Amino acid sequence: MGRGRDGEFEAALAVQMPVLLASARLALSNEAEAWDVMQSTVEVALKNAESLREPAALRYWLLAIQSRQILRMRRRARRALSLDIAQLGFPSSPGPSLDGLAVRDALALLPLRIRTAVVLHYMVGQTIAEVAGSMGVSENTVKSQVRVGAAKLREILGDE
Amino acid sequence: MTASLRERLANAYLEELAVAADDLKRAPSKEDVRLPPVPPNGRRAITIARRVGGRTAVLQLGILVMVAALVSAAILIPGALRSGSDRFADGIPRTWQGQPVLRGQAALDQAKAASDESPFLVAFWAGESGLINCNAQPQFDDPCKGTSNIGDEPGIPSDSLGPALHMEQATNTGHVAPGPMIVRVHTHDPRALACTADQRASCQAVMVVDNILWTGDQATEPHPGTVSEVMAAFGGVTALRFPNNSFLGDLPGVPQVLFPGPGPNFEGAAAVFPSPEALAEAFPDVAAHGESDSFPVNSILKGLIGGGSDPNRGPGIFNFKIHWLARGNVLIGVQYDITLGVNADPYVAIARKDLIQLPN
Repeated sequence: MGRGRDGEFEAALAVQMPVLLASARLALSNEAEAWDVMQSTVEVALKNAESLREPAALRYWLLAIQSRQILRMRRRARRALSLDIAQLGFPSSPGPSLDGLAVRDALALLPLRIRTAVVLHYMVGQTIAEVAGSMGVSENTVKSQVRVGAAKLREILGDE
Repeated sequence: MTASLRERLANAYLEELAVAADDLKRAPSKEDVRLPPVPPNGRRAITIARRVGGRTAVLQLGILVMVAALVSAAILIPGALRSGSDRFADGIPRTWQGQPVLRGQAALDQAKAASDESPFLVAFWAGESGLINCNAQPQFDDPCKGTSNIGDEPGIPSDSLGPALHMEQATNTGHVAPGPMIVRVHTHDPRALACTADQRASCQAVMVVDNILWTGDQATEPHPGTVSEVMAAFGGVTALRFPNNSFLGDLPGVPQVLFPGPGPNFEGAAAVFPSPEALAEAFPDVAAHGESDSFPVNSILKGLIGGGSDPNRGPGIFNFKIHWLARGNVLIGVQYDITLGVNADPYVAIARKDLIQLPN
């Protein structure tokens, strides 16, 4: 999928950016890092648009790039953002519900890999196979991760 | 997962999605979200020179360790130990304390044929992360009943053996490094009775691990390159300390070394296969050519690229691909800056230089 078709790629990319930002926020639990990783994902996508052969797979492709970046960049030192977070005037409105906050707090207690798998599978709605491809692990690993993640979330949230 | 929890997660995601869409509308224009300038070459060269200079002692030590290990390997690991009739070709014993050790399909066939809880022995190659199981209270009709990162051959995840095997967290007490494993299992676990009628047969065939009996010996130690040699040559650290770094993906039974040490920022990983033959089996294209810029046929990484900041390389944002190298029993996945290309990337050059020190 090239970039030369009257901004077709950029437009499709813009549609997916809320998904990228939302999933990055849930996976990282860190506002600056979430913007950082989303920005990097978009940059990588724009530079490599030609390599996306199937436009319908754009969301999967973007989430795969972002997931790999989350897992590999998480331990790196934060770089100075060219995006000025202060300009955004957080928090935005309306804010999350109390239950939404509880879910986010519970997610933050999960190990990063398990949290990422849970976010992609149970929240973004990717299949086990898609999550496995995104994270570079086997489907069995993802099954284990989402199972462990769900069990811990049930325990933390008191969900029966 | 309960419907309630699934609904709560879905609602939380929808909230997050709405907030994200709103925030993005109010974000600065994309002109403010541009790539930082590429750092001048001088800065990059200085960074690398420092790093290489700092590793000089490590590299010298690596050569000494390598020579010592080659000598000791020649003395301690006679060829007969690996290829004797009492061992499989990969060095795993065919019997353990008089009982046959089943592998792969033979183990699966035995599990299906079993009519009671009588134990039998099964061997496989396991990665440490594979020993993370689904739940301390197994649900045998759950799709997550299996054990991940398990392979009948080192470095090749099995789609059939892992799902058919269940290992309790309590069984895997303590640290088990990636490598071969013989376990005692039983089928027809009483908990299978809780499975629904249509699932009961498959639940009863699940192999539940009772004990870990053996986790490798000299015959299955990596050769000709050892893990300690690779760590010394690459100035690397064991991947077990940094489980979130994945340059090569899950490789059951194959220790991985991240480099350059001590981290936390890495440029690649070295997988130390038990033998050159095992590496060639898992990654035939890389083993045949020595280097590859294409993702190997068996890689589970699916050719993805990554990018971001990298303090090792100086300020700025970089876009990476993985370059693959192989020598002897060692597989390397090293990321390179696609702007520079494979042959101009400093870490590919370092990986080549370090790899050539290892025995072929």
